[in-house]
Amino acid sequence: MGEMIKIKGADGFEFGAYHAAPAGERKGGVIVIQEVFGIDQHVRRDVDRWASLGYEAIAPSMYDRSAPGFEAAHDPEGIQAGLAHMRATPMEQALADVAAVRDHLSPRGKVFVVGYCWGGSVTWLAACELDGIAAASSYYGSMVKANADKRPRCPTIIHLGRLDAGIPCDEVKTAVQAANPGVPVYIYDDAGHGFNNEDPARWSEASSALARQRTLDLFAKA
Amino acid sequence: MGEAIRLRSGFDGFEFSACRSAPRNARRGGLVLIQEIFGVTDHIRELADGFAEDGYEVIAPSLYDRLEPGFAVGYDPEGTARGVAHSQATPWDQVAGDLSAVVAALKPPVFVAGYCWGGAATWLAACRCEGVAAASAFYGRRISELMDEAPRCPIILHFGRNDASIPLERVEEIRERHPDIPIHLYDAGHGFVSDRRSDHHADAARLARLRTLQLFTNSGGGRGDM
Repeated sequence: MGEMIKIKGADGFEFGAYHAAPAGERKGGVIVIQEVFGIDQHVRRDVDRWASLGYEAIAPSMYDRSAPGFEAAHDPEGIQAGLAHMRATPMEQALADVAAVRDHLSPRGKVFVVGYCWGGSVTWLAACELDGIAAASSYYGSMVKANADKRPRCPTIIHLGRLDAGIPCDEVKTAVQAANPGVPVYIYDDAGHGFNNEDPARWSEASSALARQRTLDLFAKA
Repeated sequence: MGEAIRLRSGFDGFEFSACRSAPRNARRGGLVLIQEIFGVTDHIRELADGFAEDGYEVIAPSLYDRLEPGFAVGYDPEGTARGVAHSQATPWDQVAGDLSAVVAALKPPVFVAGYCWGGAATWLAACRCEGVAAASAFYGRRISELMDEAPRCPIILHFGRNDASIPLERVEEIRERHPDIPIHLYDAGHGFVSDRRSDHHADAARLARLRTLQLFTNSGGGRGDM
């Protein structure tokens, strides 16, 4: 089980972050980038799981400047609130916060990034814009397509659900691989948006397990 | 914690007590939560409250009320002996009548989940009770004696690989008899959901609970949200 810590951003602002120490021998650091819902039980659960798999894991609270400690339910109001805070969070600032977490982790080894939903978009852009990331795993980010022609600076994989109503997975794959033929874009046929999230309405047991294994394999050989 | 209510059995008209936990926020459905041999214990009440947090209106009936109203004992040898005795003195036909009354007291969709002896009773409810949308049975050893009956609704079964009271051969017999029913095995012993037991296994309990919630969600228990 993890705990909240504070990390100072490039602008001097101290944001909260959920941190969990690795079980057993430390394999590296993992930055977990949240969905639009904030650092909720599902993100904390994901951080705890990366820690149980041997990584020092940190999920920065990306909306802390506009809504400290923000957490929203998976209902229409929660989604509206989450989207509002997402829009109030410039991508430049999000990437700067990811860089701050990277700098927090890098003295102790390699740093990896994994992110979901909005965090999947942040993960893709972090891989393309930031140095010092060893590998990145981006889950169902809606902004990947618009940024498909960017080039990741580290080994990067992308996971998309075929049943995701908001993300045309085949189009994203085509766009990404036109500019980046070496970037694997995995499409999960039984999965919708948020399939790694342990919300019973979203979770896909088989696809989340397969995507996690691919991510672990990527991190292990990076 | 839930409130005490009373229900009348369809088996013999007997009025038994039950613990009802109101759903938090919008209601996903009703849930009949069936006790272990140990009665409606604090553990069962906590499970009920947990499902209520997830949006279910939960009723946990006291199925030993004819023998000993309000029965709830610990996992110690004496409690186990008393619980086993009560379970043996409680016929399945009576259990089915009691459970039908609980199902009828809940607005659809109605789901059933049960543990230990209640795991077998869950199987029974899926086979015999009208109006069950889906069921999730945890380590029900006595499902074996009810194997000739077929569930009328989607059901999933959970067993621990290291459950000394349920050899895996028994589980395989159920699988052979009902090959379409999902059976999930966990690296855990008997009663792995209960945090009061030495066999408690948090990861297995979490995964089994998640599979249960997903079954219910996919069986009409969605709230229509994302």
